[in-house]
Amino acid sequence: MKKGLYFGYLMILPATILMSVVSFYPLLRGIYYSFTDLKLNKIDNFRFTGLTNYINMFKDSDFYSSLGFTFLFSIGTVVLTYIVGIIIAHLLNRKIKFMKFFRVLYLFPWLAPPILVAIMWRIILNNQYGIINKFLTAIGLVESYFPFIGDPIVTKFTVIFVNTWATLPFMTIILLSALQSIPDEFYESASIDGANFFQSFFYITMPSVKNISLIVTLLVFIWTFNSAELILLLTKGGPLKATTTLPIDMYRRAFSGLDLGYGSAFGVIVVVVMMLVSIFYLKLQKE
Amino acid sequence: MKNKVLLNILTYIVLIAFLFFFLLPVIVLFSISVKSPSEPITESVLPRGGITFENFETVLKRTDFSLTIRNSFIISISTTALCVFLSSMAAYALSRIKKKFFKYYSRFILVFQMFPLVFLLIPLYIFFMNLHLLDNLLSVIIIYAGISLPLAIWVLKNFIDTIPFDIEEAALIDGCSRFKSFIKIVLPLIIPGLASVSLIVFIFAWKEYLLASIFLGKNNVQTMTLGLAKWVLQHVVEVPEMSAASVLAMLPLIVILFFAQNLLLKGLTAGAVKQ
Repeated sequence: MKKGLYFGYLMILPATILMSVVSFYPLLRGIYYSFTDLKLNKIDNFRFTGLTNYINMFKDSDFYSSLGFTFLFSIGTVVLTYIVGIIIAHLLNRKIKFMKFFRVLYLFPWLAPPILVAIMWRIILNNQYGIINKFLTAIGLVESYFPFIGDPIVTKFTVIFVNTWATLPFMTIILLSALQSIPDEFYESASIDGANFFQSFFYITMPSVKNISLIVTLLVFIWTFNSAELILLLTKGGPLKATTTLPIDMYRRAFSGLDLGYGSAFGVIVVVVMMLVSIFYLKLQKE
Repeated sequence: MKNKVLLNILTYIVLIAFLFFFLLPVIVLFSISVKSPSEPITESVLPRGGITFENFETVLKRTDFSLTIRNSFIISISTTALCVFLSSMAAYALSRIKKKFFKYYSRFILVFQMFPLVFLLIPLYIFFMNLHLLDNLLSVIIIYAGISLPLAIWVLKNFIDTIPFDIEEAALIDGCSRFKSFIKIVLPLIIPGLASVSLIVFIFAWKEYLLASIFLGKNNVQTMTLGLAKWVLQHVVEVPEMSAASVLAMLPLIVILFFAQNLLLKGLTAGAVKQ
């Protein structure tokens, strides 16, 4: 067996090396940087500053608004994609023709690069020439235009909406697969017993997908919490930092503000939150 | 019985509504891209002056966009090849070897997917800058592959788990080496899994913007996403051109969507729905 073991280590070695170089080592390095005053324009000359970055961060009101919006953004996305996703999945599961046709076309938002998603929605939601605003003014709901990407509060919801749009395919496909594994007999015997659409939904569908629901919502939460690309391309975190999340704040401080040390501290907080959330979820799953 | 018919009709209506919802941006983009650039952008959905490919000509002939597409292809294909090669080997070992270390390794591996890319970006940038490896397609390929490895390994391991060891056992007893068994017996049997993982990794590399924007500054190494971003970041956004470029960027994805749907779907669900 010793030869087999040696072979095994050899097989995982290249992948392990690559992952260490690209994920593990940067992680440790990033944590270290959060305790220094590293700047982008003074890369070779930085000092260990202990908890200074963290103390400043906890005094920074921007930190709290970013933290708050990151949670709002993530939870909002998860809730919306789950509710809409399970509805679509349930409908697709009803043995209708063209199910495969719908399922494939529904994949599109997931395939599209975030830059493309941002371009598309910025065109549609644009104040002057956007199709949605033209429609709203045409039917008289608004006078000149509705500031989807201009007003601080509205933009927060716009961003959640677009992210939901982009994440729905993934959620729907996973939930659909889970639903497809529920035996038909369950539904048949329920309808014999007189259960209607909603009853069978709540008493058969939901419990059967509990496990997979927990996994996929955790996954989406983590991805959304960690993401910065879509919002950055959609609103750059504005207007006036209204849609700035922790990752975006980190990105801005590091690469625009040149403050890599401080930015890294923000990153560490994100990682800590991820760990806590995962532990919480694992506890939930055990019940 | 009336109820059932009603319910079915309602179902179709809702599904079509969602179809429209998911594809509206694409439709708008397509319609703008084939309109003449002088036409106002959303006067009507259909182009008033007839369909013209002027915008596509502008994008392809007068900008560097085709170069960026070429770079994106190079990066995506290389990333996929590298990732599949390394992950399949690792997945095989993790699946077949029943020692504690390998068991914990499999469990632990998905933790690496939990880190924000932005956070890793800072140390990675400094690391590669010190090695003078910025503005280099290879650096990006290596990083993309490394980021995709955890998920790829996990999915492939699950695939290999479904292949009974007995099939290999016969060959091994006959003197076949483990590596040969891996290549000649196991790999062919998980081709759907390999294909699905390849698609997922390819799409990830194709879509990515953030890392590329930091690592690839020079004009000759720009990727398609960076090229598109250039239009977005301009002061006066040239919407018709941008739309045409976007449509071009979407083409590979549409091709994948139509010819590889099953593989895509398998890949997406393989990880999560493991019963």
